Amino acid sequence: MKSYLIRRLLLMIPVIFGVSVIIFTLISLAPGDPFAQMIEANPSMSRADYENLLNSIGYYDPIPVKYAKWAKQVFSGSLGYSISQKQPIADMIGRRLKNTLLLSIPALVLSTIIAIPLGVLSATKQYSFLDYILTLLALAGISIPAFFLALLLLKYLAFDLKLFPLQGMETIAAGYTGTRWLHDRLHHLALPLSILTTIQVAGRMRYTRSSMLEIINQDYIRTARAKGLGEKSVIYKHALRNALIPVITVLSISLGSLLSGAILTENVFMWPGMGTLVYQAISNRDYPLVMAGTMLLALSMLIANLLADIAYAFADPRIRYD
Amino acid sequence: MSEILRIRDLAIDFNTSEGIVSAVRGVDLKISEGEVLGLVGESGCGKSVTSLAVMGLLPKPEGVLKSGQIIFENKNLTAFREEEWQKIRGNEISMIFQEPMTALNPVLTIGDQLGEVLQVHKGIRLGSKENIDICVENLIKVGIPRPQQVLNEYPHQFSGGMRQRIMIAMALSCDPKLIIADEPTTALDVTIQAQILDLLRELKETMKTSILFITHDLGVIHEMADRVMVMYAGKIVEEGPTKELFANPSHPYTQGLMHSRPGKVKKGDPLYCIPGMVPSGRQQIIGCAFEPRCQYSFRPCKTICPLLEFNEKGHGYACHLSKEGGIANVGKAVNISN
Repeated sequence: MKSYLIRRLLLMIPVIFGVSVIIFTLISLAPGDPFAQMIEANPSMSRADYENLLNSIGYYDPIPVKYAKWAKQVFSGSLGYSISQKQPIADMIGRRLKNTLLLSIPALVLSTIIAIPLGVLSATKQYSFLDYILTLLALAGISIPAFFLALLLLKYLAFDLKLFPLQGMETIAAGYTGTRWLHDRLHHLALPLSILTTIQVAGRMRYTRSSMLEIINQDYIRTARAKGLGEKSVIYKHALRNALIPVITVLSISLGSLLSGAILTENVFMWPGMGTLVYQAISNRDYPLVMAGTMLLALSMLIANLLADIAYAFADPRIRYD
Repeated sequence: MSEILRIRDLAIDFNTSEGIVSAVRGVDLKISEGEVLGLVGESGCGKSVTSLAVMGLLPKPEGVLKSGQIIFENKNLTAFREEEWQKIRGNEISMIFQEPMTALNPVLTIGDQLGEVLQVHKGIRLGSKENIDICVENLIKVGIPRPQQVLNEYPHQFSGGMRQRIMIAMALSCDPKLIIADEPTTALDVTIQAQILDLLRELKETMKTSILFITHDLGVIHEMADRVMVMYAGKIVEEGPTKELFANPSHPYTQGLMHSRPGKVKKGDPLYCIPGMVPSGRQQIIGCAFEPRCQYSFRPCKTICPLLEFNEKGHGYACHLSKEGGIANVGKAVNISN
């Protein structure tokens, strides 16, 4: 297991390199530049100034040269400077990362806690009224886009009924402290969290259901019944343990989308997280920031994949790495 | 010998999306204490369904007990609620399945799977010393080497034959009064088959447990069973003490089965097989179910269902033909159907 882990971690290095080259090339090939918007906003800016600005960031360099410059900055530890915000990227991402995790980790935990029991229930009572209702809800949850659901909730709960704040993650300049501060934070968190949770519950519940249904028809479940075990023991000890193996894999992989899974939701609620940051960076053609953001996403995906493989070995005794 | 299990007029239907399938169409069966009853027949004739019914494990909700009674030690199991079944299963009646490769739970240790039977029925806590001791003892009984370590291992670490031994150890855990062995050797290769049969025979002698042995292998049944029942299309067509039945197979179907054994064929000759197919459970069968495949078929076979008629040796068969080729049973069958 140890040598396997070391091998996997070492393998990540060439993968990360490859990903960075591909992303860098694609972004450099994309039309537009970081100052196009600036020139629109400020017509007094001369053509020469504009060209000077582009030259100052090495816009006209060949792609390999640009890549080398970027790589040098990355290894210097600062991850470079944002073109649009003129700040060190490492600091910007640090703050945003925290906000995103504040939203996505509770969503992941909450949706898993809700989805697995519902999936089991749906499978053990297949074709019952409950199963149909859950299937219908899951279908709705999967097919309604997150941003649309978010807009609906904003319109009815936040705008019309004024039950929740419209955007952001705290009441700006209110200066709350203690429990007031906590309450304010939770109040802002409620809507985006429920959106993210709802979407994740839908998929995960269906996944648990189908995995469970497959296991329930296995021979060893019949064996368990033939031993005289009660239905609870058959379902929760014998069936669920097996049914969760694929679910655990999917869960570990979804750890990788902790950073990227909320891009749309974050933007609708103006949640100051990674999603909004990367989104703005892309529309501003803020190359170093886009690179830093996407590389972080790629890295988290790779780590999540590794975690999935490790979790698999723990959940299933048939899997051993050596 | 006192009677341990009696099945009366058992009929089981399956409600499938393509209509009702009659898997068992009226089976009567009796097993005495310490007796091994062999149940033979082709695939799809209702052997396994009968055994699952005895365990109360018919697939729900498709499997429906249409009629009949299953009486185990004077208790009518067909009237049992699920909780009452659970007390019987694995405790007084246990089962060995056909597929040892898939019958054990892949994520639980052998010790867990063996020990939990004792926990459920005897209240001996899983993981306690007593529990482990009994499991080790049972593993030794079925001839598993290094039983202590085996308890901490997982099913995938064992071969098919070993897994079947573990299944047998599991079935023995609570000293059941009846073991149902549903084709326990079918999925194993020939040498392992012989070992498992030896083991079962040895257990039969030492433990005096009754066994319902289900197979389609006549050779196996000849070695194992005290009495044999031949099943065809959900009904018993012939029944008798093993020696008697093998000496005088009387139903044309049994004769066909005996004839199909490869041992009797000269080198170079084609193997014999009974022409035709087992009727599908969807078909309505009015007369003798074997009639379309029977070389002796004559008029009453199409319309009148023959009944089991026993002679003084306890050997009976359900056919309109008597041994001489006359029409002995037709009259009685007509009387009853009227």
